[in-house]
Amino acid sequence: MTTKLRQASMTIGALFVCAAPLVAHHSFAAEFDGYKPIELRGTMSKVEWINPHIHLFLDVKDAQGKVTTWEVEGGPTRHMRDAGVTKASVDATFGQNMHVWGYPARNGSPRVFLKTMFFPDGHYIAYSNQPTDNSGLGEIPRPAQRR
Amino acid sequence: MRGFDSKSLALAAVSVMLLGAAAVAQQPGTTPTPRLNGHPNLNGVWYPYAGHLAPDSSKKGETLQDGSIIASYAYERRYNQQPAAQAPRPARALPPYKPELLAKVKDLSDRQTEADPYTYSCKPPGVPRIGPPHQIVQGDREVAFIYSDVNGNYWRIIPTDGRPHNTESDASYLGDSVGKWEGDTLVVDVNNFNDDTWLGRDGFFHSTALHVTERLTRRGDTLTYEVTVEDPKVLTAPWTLQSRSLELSDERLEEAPPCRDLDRPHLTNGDHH
Repeated sequence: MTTKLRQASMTIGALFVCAAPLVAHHSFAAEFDGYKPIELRGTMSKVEWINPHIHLFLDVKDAQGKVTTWEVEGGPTRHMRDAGVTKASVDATFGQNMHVWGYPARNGSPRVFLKTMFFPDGHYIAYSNQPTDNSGLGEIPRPAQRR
Repeated sequence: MRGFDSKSLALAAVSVMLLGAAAVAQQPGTTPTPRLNGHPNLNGVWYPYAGHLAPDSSKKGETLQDGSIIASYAYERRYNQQPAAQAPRPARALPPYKPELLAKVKDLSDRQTEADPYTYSCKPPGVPRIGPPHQIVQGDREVAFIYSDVNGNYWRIIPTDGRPHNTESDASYLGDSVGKWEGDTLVVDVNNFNDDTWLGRDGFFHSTALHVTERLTRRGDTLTYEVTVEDPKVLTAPWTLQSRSLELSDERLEEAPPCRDLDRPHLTNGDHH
Protein backbone atom coordinates (compact mmCIF):
# COMPACT_ATOMS: atom_id res chain seq x y z
CA MET A 1 0.00 0.00 0.00
CA THR A 2 1.61 3.15 -1.15
CA THR A 3 1.99 6.01 1.22
CA LYS A 4 2.87 8.44 -1.51
CA LEU A 5 0.43 11.12 -2.29
CA ARG A 6 -1.26 9.64 -5.29
CA GLN A 7 -2.21 12.38 -7.60
CA ALA A 8 -4.92 11.39 -10.01
CA SER A 9 -5.53 14.71 -11.57
CA MET A 10 -6.97 16.00 -14.75
CA THR A 11 -6.67 19.69 -14.91
CA ILE A 12 -8.82 20.99 -17.67
CA GLY A 13 -6.65 24.02 -17.96
CA ALA A 14 -7.41 27.60 -18.64
CA LEU A 15 -9.62 27.17 -21.68
CA PHE A 16 -13.05 28.54 -21.03
CA VAL A 17 -14.47 29.63 -24.32
CA CYS A 18 -18.08 30.06 -25.26
CA ALA A 19 -19.81 26.94 -26.49
CA ALA A 20 -18.57 23.60 -27.59
CA PRO A 21 -20.36 22.57 -30.77
CA LEU A 22 -22.57 19.84 -29.45
CA VAL A 23 -22.84 20.61 -25.81
CA ALA A 24 -25.38 22.64 -23.93
CA HIS A 25 -23.99 25.76 -22.53
CA HIS A 26 -24.11 26.83 -18.96
CA SER A 27 -22.73 30.16 -17.96
CA PHE A 28 -20.12 30.08 -15.23
CA ALA A 29 -19.99 33.85 -14.88
CA ALA A 30 -23.71 34.21 -14.26
CA GLU A 31 -23.55 31.83 -11.34
CA PHE A 32 -20.10 31.65 -9.80
CA ASP A 33 -17.28 33.99 -8.90
CA GLY A 34 -14.16 32.84 -10.73
CA TYR A 35 -11.66 35.13 -9.03
CA LYS A 36 -11.04 33.64 -5.62
CA PRO A 37 -11.84 30.07 -4.74
CA ILE A 38 -12.83 29.15 -1.20
CA GLU A 39 -12.01 26.11 0.87
CA LEU A 40 -14.58 23.76 2.32
CA ARG A 41 -14.09 20.89 4.76
CA GLY A 42 -17.08 18.76 5.62
CA THR A 43 -18.64 15.34 5.48
CA MET A 44 -20.19 14.09 2.28
CA SER A 45 -23.91 13.85 2.92
CA LYS A 46 -25.49 13.49 -0.52
CA VAL A 47 -24.51 12.82 -4.11
CA GLU A 48 -26.61 13.79 -7.13
CA TRP A 49 -24.98 11.98 -10.02
CA ILE A 50 -26.96 13.73 -12.72
CA ASN A 51 -26.55 15.74 -15.87
CA PRO A 52 -25.85 18.38 -16.90
CA HIS A 53 -23.86 18.75 -13.67
CA ILE A 54 -23.17 16.49 -10.76
CA HIS A 55 -23.87 17.97 -7.35
CA LEU A 56 -22.15 16.87 -4.17
CA PHE A 57 -23.28 18.00 -0.76
CA LEU A 58 -20.95 18.58 2.16
CA ASP A 59 -22.11 19.18 5.70
CA VAL A 60 -19.73 21.84 6.93
CA LYS A 61 -19.56 22.62 10.63
CA ASP A 62 -18.55 26.10 11.74
CA ALA A 63 -16.61 27.00 14.88
CA GLN A 64 -19.84 27.15 16.87
CA GLY A 65 -20.84 23.69 15.70
CA LYS A 66 -23.55 24.90 13.36
CA VAL A 67 -23.85 22.77 10.25
CA THR A 68 -24.42 24.24 6.81
CA THR A 69 -24.89 22.00 3.81
CA TRP A 70 -22.75 23.23 0.95
CA GLU A 71 -23.41 22.20 -2.61
CA VAL A 72 -20.37 21.40 -4.78
CA GLU A 73 -21.15 21.44 -8.46
CA GLY A 74 -19.04 19.59 -11.00
CA GLY A 75 -19.36 18.78 -14.65
CA PRO A 76 -21.39 16.19 -16.55
CA THR A 77 -21.05 12.63 -15.31
CA ARG A 78 -18.90 11.53 -18.20
CA HIS A 79 -16.57 14.47 -17.74
CA MET A 80 -16.20 13.67 -14.09
CA ARG A 81 -15.32 10.08 -14.81
CA ASP A 82 -12.76 11.08 -17.40
CA ALA A 83 -11.23 13.34 -14.80
CA GLY A 84 -10.95 10.44 -12.38
CA VAL A 85 -14.01 11.25 -10.29
CA THR A 86 -16.17 8.17 -10.72
CA LYS A 87 -19.55 7.63 -9.13
CA ALA A 88 -18.10 4.72 -7.19
CA SER A 89 -15.22 6.80 -5.86
CA VAL A 90 -17.61 9.52 -4.77
CA ASP A 91 -20.14 7.12 -3.25
CA ALA A 92 -17.30 5.65 -1.22
CA THR A 93 -16.77 9.03 0.43
CA PHE A 94 -20.29 9.16 1.82
CA GLY A 95 -20.13 10.14 5.47
CA GLN A 96 -16.40 10.83 5.28
CA ASN A 97 -14.50 14.05 5.65
CA MET A 98 -13.92 15.77 2.37
CA HIS A 99 -11.79 18.72 1.45
CA VAL A 100 -12.74 20.84 -1.53
CA TRP A 101 -11.69 24.07 -3.18
CA GLY A 102 -14.39 25.74 -5.20
CA TYR A 103 -15.57 28.94 -6.79
CA PRO A 104 -18.36 30.48 -4.70
CA ALA A 105 -21.87 31.26 -5.90
CA ARG A 106 -22.50 34.88 -6.77
CA ASN A 107 -25.90 34.97 -5.12
CA GLY A 108 -24.49 34.19 -1.69
CA SER A 109 -26.00 30.72 -1.48
CA PRO A 110 -23.81 27.96 -0.03
CA ARG A 111 -22.70 26.59 -3.37
CA VAL A 112 -19.38 26.32 -5.14
CA PHE A 113 -18.18 25.10 -8.50
CA LEU A 114 -15.54 22.43 -8.06
CA LYS A 115 -11.93 23.45 -8.49
CA THR A 116 -10.00 20.77 -6.62
CA MET A 117 -11.28 17.78 -4.68
CA PHE A 118 -9.21 15.91 -2.09
CA PHE A 119 -10.29 12.36 -1.33
CA PRO A 120 -9.91 10.75 2.12
CA ASP A 121 -7.14 8.46 0.89
CA GLY A 122 -5.02 11.43 -0.03
CA HIS A 123 -5.39 11.53 -3.80
CA TYR A 124 -6.86 14.59 -5.39
CA ILE A 125 -8.46 15.70 -8.59
CA ALA A 126 -7.84 19.13 -10.01
CA TYR A 127 -11.01 19.55 -12.00
CA SER A 128 -11.21 23.13 -13.13
CA ASN A 129 -9.26 26.32 -13.09
CA GLN A 130 -10.76 29.64 -14.05
CA PRO A 131 -8.66 32.00 -16.17
CA THR A 132 -9.66 34.79 -13.77
CA ASP A 133 -8.24 32.87 -10.83
CA ASN A 134 -4.77 34.15 -10.07
CA SER A 135 -5.09 33.45 -6.40
CA GLY A 136 -2.88 30.38 -6.32
CA LEU A 137 -5.29 29.03 -3.72
CA GLY A 138 -6.02 25.33 -3.88
CA GLU A 139 -3.48 24.78 -6.61
CA ILE A 140 -1.95 21.37 -6.80
CA PRO A 141 1.85 21.39 -6.82
CA ARG A 142 3.48 21.40 -10.22
CA PRO A 143 5.45 18.20 -10.74
CA ALA A 144 9.20 18.67 -10.93
CA GLN A 145 10.04 16.51 -13.89
CA ARG A 146 8.86 13.40 -15.66
CA ARG A 147 10.80 10.24 -15.11
CA MET B 1 -17.37 31.09 -18.47
CA ARG B 2 -18.61 27.95 -17.02
CA GLY B 3 -16.82 24.75 -16.67
CA PHE B 4 -19.35 22.63 -18.45
CA ASP B 5 -19.18 23.43 -22.05
CA SER B 6 -16.02 25.40 -21.72
CA LYS B 7 -14.40 22.30 -20.41
CA SER B 8 -16.07 20.41 -23.18
CA LEU B 9 -14.49 22.70 -25.67
CA ALA B 10 -11.18 22.35 -23.90
CA LEU B 11 -11.48 18.60 -24.10
CA ALA B 12 -12.71 18.80 -27.64
CA ALA B 13 -9.76 20.99 -28.54
CA VAL B 14 -7.35 18.55 -26.97
CA SER B 15 -9.12 15.64 -28.57
CA VAL B 16 -9.14 17.36 -31.94
CA MET B 17 -5.39 17.70 -31.68
CA LEU B 18 -5.09 14.06 -30.65
CA LEU B 19 -7.38 12.83 -33.38
CA GLY B 20 -5.95 15.24 -35.89
CA ALA B 21 -2.64 13.54 -35.37
CA ALA B 22 -4.32 10.19 -35.71
CA ALA B 23 -6.00 11.25 -38.94
CA VAL B 24 -2.69 12.27 -40.40
CA ALA B 25 -1.26 8.91 -39.47
CA GLN B 26 -4.19 6.95 -40.91
CA GLN B 27 -4.92 7.17 -44.61
CA PRO B 28 -8.60 6.42 -45.19
CA GLY B 29 -7.94 5.17 -48.70
CA THR B 30 -5.79 2.32 -47.47
CA THR B 31 -8.23 0.88 -44.92
CA PRO B 32 -10.94 -1.18 -46.58
CA THR B 33 -14.51 -0.09 -45.97
CA PRO B 34 -16.59 -2.96 -44.58
CA ARG B 35 -19.84 -3.59 -46.42
CA LEU B 36 -23.20 -4.93 -45.33
CA ASN B 37 -26.01 -5.97 -47.65
CA GLY B 38 -24.39 -4.21 -50.56
CA HIS B 39 -23.76 -0.93 -48.74
CA PRO B 40 -21.04 0.48 -46.53
CA ASN B 41 -21.37 -0.90 -43.03
CA LEU B 42 -22.07 2.03 -40.74
CA ASN B 43 -22.33 -0.08 -37.60
CA GLY B 44 -20.24 1.22 -34.74
CA VAL B 45 -19.61 3.87 -32.16
CA TRP B 46 -18.59 7.00 -34.03
CA TYR B 47 -17.01 8.99 -31.36
CA PRO B 48 -17.65 12.71 -31.74
CA TYR B 49 -15.45 13.38 -28.71
CA ALA B 50 -17.60 16.26 -27.60
CA GLY B 51 -17.38 16.60 -23.86
CA HIS B 52 -15.18 13.58 -23.56
CA LEU B 53 -11.47 13.32 -23.57
CA ALA B 54 -10.10 10.07 -24.88
CA PRO B 55 -7.26 9.53 -22.43
CA ASP B 56 -3.82 8.77 -23.77
CA SER B 57 -3.65 5.44 -22.04
CA SER B 58 -0.03 4.92 -23.02
CA LYS B 59 0.89 7.48 -20.39
CA LYS B 60 -1.58 6.39 -17.76
CA GLY B 61 0.03 5.03 -14.65
CA GLU B 62 3.34 6.64 -15.45
CA THR B 63 4.98 7.92 -12.30
CA LEU B 64 6.36 11.42 -12.14
CA GLN B 65 9.42 12.33 -10.18
CA ASP B 66 7.41 13.77 -7.31
CA GLY B 67 5.58 10.47 -6.92
CA SER B 68 2.35 11.59 -8.54
CA ILE B 69 0.84 9.41 -11.20
CA ILE B 70 -0.47 10.54 -14.54
CA ALA B 71 -4.19 9.86 -14.75
CA SER B 72 -4.83 11.14 -18.23
CA TYR B 73 -3.43 12.94 -21.17
CA ALA B 74 -5.00 16.15 -20.07
CA TYR B 75 -2.83 16.10 -17.00
CA GLU B 76 0.30 16.02 -19.05
CA ARG B 77 -1.03 18.70 -21.29
CA ARG B 78 -1.67 20.93 -18.35
CA TYR B 79 1.86 20.84 -17.12
CA ASN B 80 3.92 20.26 -20.19
CA GLN B 81 2.29 22.22 -22.92
CA GLN B 82 0.55 25.47 -23.53
CA PRO B 83 -3.15 25.08 -22.83
CA ALA B 84 -5.48 25.21 -25.79
CA ALA B 85 -6.87 28.39 -24.21
CA GLN B 86 -4.57 30.29 -26.51
CA ALA B 87 -6.43 29.10 -29.59
CA PRO B 88 -8.88 31.66 -30.88
CA ARG B 89 -12.54 30.81 -30.70
CA PRO B 90 -13.92 29.82 -34.09
CA ALA B 91 -16.69 32.08 -35.32
CA ARG B 92 -20.09 30.49 -35.14
CA ALA B 93 -21.89 30.54 -38.45
CA LEU B 94 -25.23 32.36 -38.52
CA PRO B 95 -27.95 30.63 -40.53
CA PRO B 96 -29.31 32.78 -43.38
CA TYR B 97 -32.30 34.17 -41.51
CA LYS B 98 -34.80 36.41 -43.23
CA PRO B 99 -33.76 40.01 -42.48
CA GLU B 100 -36.97 40.76 -40.61
CA LEU B 101 -36.23 37.87 -38.22
CA LEU B 102 -32.70 38.87 -37.27
CA ALA B 103 -33.93 41.01 -34.39
CA LYS B 104 -35.77 38.03 -32.94
CA VAL B 105 -32.67 35.85 -33.28
CA LYS B 106 -30.61 38.47 -31.44
CA ASP B 107 -33.20 38.85 -28.71
CA LEU B 108 -33.36 35.11 -28.16
CA SER B 109 -29.58 34.93 -28.17
CA ASP B 110 -29.29 37.70 -25.59
CA ARG B 111 -31.87 35.96 -23.40
CA GLN B 112 -30.62 32.47 -24.12
CA THR B 113 -30.10 31.48 -20.52
CA GLU B 114 -33.84 31.75 -20.04
CA ALA B 115 -35.02 31.12 -23.59
CA ASP B 116 -32.95 28.17 -24.83
CA PRO B 117 -35.14 25.03 -24.75
CA TYR B 118 -32.08 22.77 -24.50
CA THR B 119 -29.78 24.36 -21.94
CA TYR B 120 -31.19 24.59 -18.39
CA SER B 121 -34.35 22.80 -19.52
CA CYS B 122 -33.22 19.24 -20.16
CA LYS B 123 -35.26 19.05 -23.36
CA PRO B 124 -34.09 17.12 -26.44
CA PRO B 125 -31.66 19.09 -28.61
CA GLY B 126 -33.37 18.46 -31.92
CA VAL B 127 -31.66 17.89 -35.24
CA PRO B 128 -29.05 18.98 -36.22
CA ARG B 129 -28.16 20.36 -32.80
CA ILE B 130 -27.84 16.86 -31.35
CA GLY B 131 -24.90 16.34 -33.66
CA PRO B 132 -23.76 13.19 -35.45
CA PRO B 133 -25.01 9.85 -34.11
CA HIS B 134 -22.91 8.48 -31.27
CA GLN B 135 -23.64 4.94 -32.35
CA ILE B 136 -25.15 3.51 -35.50
CA VAL B 137 -26.85 0.14 -35.68
CA GLN B 138 -27.53 -0.89 -39.24
CA GLY B 139 -30.01 -3.60 -40.12
CA ASP B 140 -31.59 -4.94 -43.25
CA ARG B 141 -34.56 -2.57 -43.29
CA GLU B 142 -33.53 0.34 -41.17
CA VAL B 143 -30.72 2.13 -39.42
CA ALA B 144 -30.79 3.27 -35.82
CA PHE B 145 -29.00 6.42 -34.70
CA ILE B 146 -28.33 6.30 -30.97
CA TYR B 147 -27.20 9.19 -28.79
CA SER B 148 -26.02 9.37 -25.21
CA ASP B 149 -26.51 13.08 -24.88
CA VAL B 150 -26.02 15.25 -21.85
CA ASN B 151 -29.79 15.80 -21.72
CA GLY B 152 -30.73 12.16 -22.14
CA ASN B 153 -30.74 9.01 -24.19
CA TYR B 154 -32.08 9.54 -27.67
CA TRP B 155 -32.69 7.35 -30.68
CA ARG B 156 -33.86 7.76 -34.24
CA ILE B 157 -35.05 4.90 -36.45
CA ILE B 158 -34.43 5.48 -40.13
CA PRO B 159 -36.15 3.11 -42.57
CA THR B 160 -33.95 2.33 -45.56
CA ASP B 161 -36.23 -0.14 -47.33
CA GLY B 162 -38.32 2.40 -49.15
CA ARG B 163 -40.93 2.98 -46.48
CA PRO B 164 -42.12 6.58 -46.66
CA HIS B 165 -42.27 9.12 -43.88
CA ASN B 166 -44.66 8.28 -41.10
CA THR B 167 -47.31 10.94 -41.68
CA GLU B 168 -49.42 9.74 -38.77
CA SER B 169 -46.96 10.61 -36.05
CA ASP B 170 -47.05 13.84 -34.11
CA ALA B 171 -44.44 16.49 -34.72
CA SER B 172 -41.47 15.67 -32.55
CA TYR B 173 -38.15 16.94 -31.27
CA LEU B 174 -36.01 14.71 -33.47
CA GLY B 175 -38.40 14.59 -36.42
CA ASP B 176 -39.35 11.72 -38.69
CA SER B 177 -36.58 10.21 -40.81
CA VAL B 178 -36.30 8.09 -43.93
CA GLY B 179 -33.05 7.03 -45.54
CA LYS B 180 -31.83 5.96 -48.94
CA TRP B 181 -28.47 5.14 -50.40
CA GLU B 182 -26.98 7.35 -53.08
CA GLY B 183 -24.00 5.30 -54.08
CA ASP B 184 -22.07 4.78 -50.88
CA THR B 185 -23.66 7.71 -49.07
CA LEU B 186 -26.63 7.26 -46.76
CA VAL B 187 -28.92 10.23 -47.28
CA VAL B 188 -31.38 10.84 -44.45
CA ASP B 189 -34.42 13.04 -44.97
CA VAL B 190 -35.94 14.45 -41.78
CA ASN B 191 -39.21 16.34 -41.37
CA ASN B 192 -42.21 16.63 -39.02
CA PHE B 193 -40.31 18.60 -36.38
CA ASN B 194 -41.93 20.54 -33.59
CA ASP B 195 -40.59 24.05 -33.05
CA ASP B 196 -39.40 23.49 -29.48
CA THR B 197 -35.76 23.23 -30.42
CA TRP B 198 -33.11 25.54 -31.75
CA LEU B 199 -30.64 24.94 -34.56
CA GLY B 200 -27.90 26.24 -32.32
CA ARG B 201 -27.49 27.99 -29.02
CA ASP B 202 -27.46 31.63 -30.16
CA GLY B 203 -31.18 32.00 -30.57
CA PHE B 204 -31.33 29.93 -33.75
CA PHE B 205 -35.04 29.25 -33.67
CA HIS B 206 -36.91 27.47 -36.45
CA SER B 207 -40.47 26.69 -37.52
CA THR B 208 -42.36 23.43 -37.99
CA ALA B 209 -41.45 23.69 -41.67
CA LEU B 210 -37.92 22.61 -40.77
CA HIS B 211 -36.49 20.05 -43.18
CA VAL B 212 -33.07 18.49 -42.58
CA THR B 213 -30.93 16.39 -44.89
CA GLU B 214 -28.03 14.37 -43.50
CA ARG B 215 -25.39 12.61 -45.53
CA LEU B 216 -23.20 9.89 -44.02
CA THR B 217 -20.28 8.38 -45.88
CA ARG B 218 -17.87 5.83 -44.49
CA ARG B 219 -14.39 5.42 -45.93
CA GLY B 220 -12.21 3.01 -44.04
CA ASP B 221 -12.80 3.77 -40.38
CA THR B 222 -13.76 7.38 -40.94
CA LEU B 223 -17.35 8.56 -41.14
CA THR B 224 -18.11 11.90 -42.72
CA TYR B 225 -21.29 13.56 -41.50
CA GLU B 226 -22.79 16.44 -43.45
CA VAL B 227 -26.05 18.20 -42.78
CA THR B 228 -28.14 20.81 -44.57
CA VAL B 229 -31.04 22.66 -42.98
CA GLU B 230 -33.98 24.19 -44.83
CA ASP B 231 -36.81 26.19 -43.33
CA PRO B 232 -38.57 28.40 -45.87
CA LYS B 233 -40.48 30.17 -43.11
CA VAL B 234 -37.39 31.56 -41.40
CA LEU B 235 -34.43 31.08 -43.71
CA THR B 236 -33.76 32.65 -47.08
CA ALA B 237 -31.70 29.73 -48.30
CA PRO B 238 -30.55 26.26 -47.23
CA TRP B 239 -27.95 26.30 -44.48
CA THR B 240 -25.15 23.76 -44.71
CA LEU B 241 -23.19 23.09 -41.54
CA GLN B 242 -19.50 22.36 -41.41
CA SER B 243 -18.77 18.76 -42.33
CA ARG B 244 -17.76 16.53 -39.41
CA SER B 245 -15.26 13.73 -39.62
CA LEU B 246 -15.65 10.94 -37.06
CA GLU B 247 -13.42 8.01 -36.23
CA LEU B 248 -14.62 4.52 -35.37
CA SER B 249 -14.22 3.98 -31.66
CA ASP B 250 -14.13 0.93 -29.43
CA GLU B 251 -15.85 2.87 -26.67
CA ARG B 252 -19.11 1.42 -25.45
CA LEU B 253 -22.04 3.74 -25.25
CA GLU B 254 -23.37 4.27 -21.76
CA GLU B 255 -26.70 5.37 -20.49
CA ALA B 256 -26.88 9.05 -19.79
CA PRO B 257 -27.96 9.76 -16.21
CA PRO B 258 -31.14 11.70 -15.56
CA CYS B 259 -31.05 15.34 -16.60
CA ARG B 260 -32.16 17.68 -13.86
CA ASP B 261 -30.95 21.21 -13.97
CA LEU B 262 -30.33 22.75 -10.56
CA ASP B 263 -28.67 25.90 -11.81
CA ARG B 264 -31.38 28.12 -13.21
CA PRO B 265 -32.57 29.50 -9.83
CA HIS B 266 -29.01 30.58 -9.08
CA LEU B 267 -28.28 32.57 -12.19
CA THR B 268 -27.65 36.17 -11.27
CA ASN B 269 -27.71 37.58 -14.78
CA GLY B 270 -28.14 36.65 -18.41
CA ASP B 271 -24.46 36.16 -19.06
CA HIS B 272 -23.94 33.23 -21.37
CA HIS B 273 -20.19 33.15 -21.73
